[in-house]
Amino acid sequence: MTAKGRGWIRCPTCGLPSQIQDHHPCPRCLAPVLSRKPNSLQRTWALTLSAATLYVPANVYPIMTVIQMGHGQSKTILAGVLALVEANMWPLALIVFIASVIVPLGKIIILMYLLISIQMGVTTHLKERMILYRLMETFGHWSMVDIFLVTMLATLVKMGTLATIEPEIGVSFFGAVVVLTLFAARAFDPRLIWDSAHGHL
Amino acid sequence: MARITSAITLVACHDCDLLHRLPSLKEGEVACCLRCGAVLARRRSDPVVRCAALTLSALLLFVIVNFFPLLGLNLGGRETSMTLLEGALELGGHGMWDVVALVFFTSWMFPLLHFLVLLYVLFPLALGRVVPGALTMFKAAGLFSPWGMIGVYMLGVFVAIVKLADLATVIPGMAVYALGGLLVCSTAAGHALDHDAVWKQIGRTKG
Ligand SMILES: [Zn+2]
Ligand SMILES: [Zn+2]
Repeated sequence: MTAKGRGWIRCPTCGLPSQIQDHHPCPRCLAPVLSRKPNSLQRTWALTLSAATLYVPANVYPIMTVIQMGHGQSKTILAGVLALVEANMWPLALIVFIASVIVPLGKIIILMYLLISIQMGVTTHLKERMILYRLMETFGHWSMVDIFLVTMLATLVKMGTLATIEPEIGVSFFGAVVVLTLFAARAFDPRLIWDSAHGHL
Repeated sequence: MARITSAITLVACHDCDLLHRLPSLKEGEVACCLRCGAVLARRRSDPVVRCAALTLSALLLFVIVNFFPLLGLNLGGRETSMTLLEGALELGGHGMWDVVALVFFTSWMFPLLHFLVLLYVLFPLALGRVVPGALTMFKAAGLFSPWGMIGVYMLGVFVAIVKLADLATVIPGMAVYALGGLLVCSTAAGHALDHDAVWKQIGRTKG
């Protein structure tokens, strides 16, 4: 039996279950309670689709320009990974590839799959879907690596025409993608997977 | 030995909402959801004091981090260096204030606020006192914690060191080691903290 099915609500702030109505204050921490996140499906869809849309310019536009010996070269996220591969820095290339490509893309795909399966009332693979949800929660913020990296490189490599790294607009887009996917994951309510499978959506 | 029945508490799973009647756990025991496997409760040997001490260490290391350079670079005699905060604010010079805000909040502001707010609640609590505003502050700690990304930042530092080694001589600063220590302390503090035990002590009802 779920808390909701019994007329109980688990406080989203402190976790105490109590027999009160939506929007009433939790008896323990006084925060207003809600049995499910508000408009979770709509909000998660909106944030996920926005992230997916911005993922395009984040990859098309360069994230930085590397000036070396007077030559300037703009690099996109993928070009940055390829440059690491060419320099035989395989482990590094793998880290950046996973953090900058696999994680944000995987997050968008997992969220869409979870949303669609909930809306179609799918009753199977409940535990597997929870694993996907937890993967997304655990690794979601690692896509920030590229943003931190570009800011560090731009701060350190400032030696005029000899060597300079300048940030480009792609960082802004990529930052927006990361923030949107983080908010999307927060807006998603995993309890809906179980509600939907039991016909209580 | 028979369990004391009054110690049974009602717990709803945060991931699937299934209600469980939970017996009181022994030290080190973990209770998992029967349906989805989520961890419902974990009994820590010392829910407050250890977390308070580790958070204090993290805060002291954070102060050290800010007084020393994080990374330095030497290329043909020309040197540059950066601190954590300089790195966060650098892109302002390029007009990219959105990125500045993102980096500043996730690598500096939120971790700092998280440590301060936790200490404000936990330190007096370790001495058996509940400070005014403890409820609000502990709620704030819950809001800040997912947005502090020192661990990810540390990975970025490693990637930068390896990547730049090709170009010039990289000089890891004092702050890198302090930041590494900070990461260990704050991660351990997160594992040591028993949220439910704190809520029980600072909450309005003993639930
Ligand atoms: Zn509460
Ligand atoms: Zn569960």
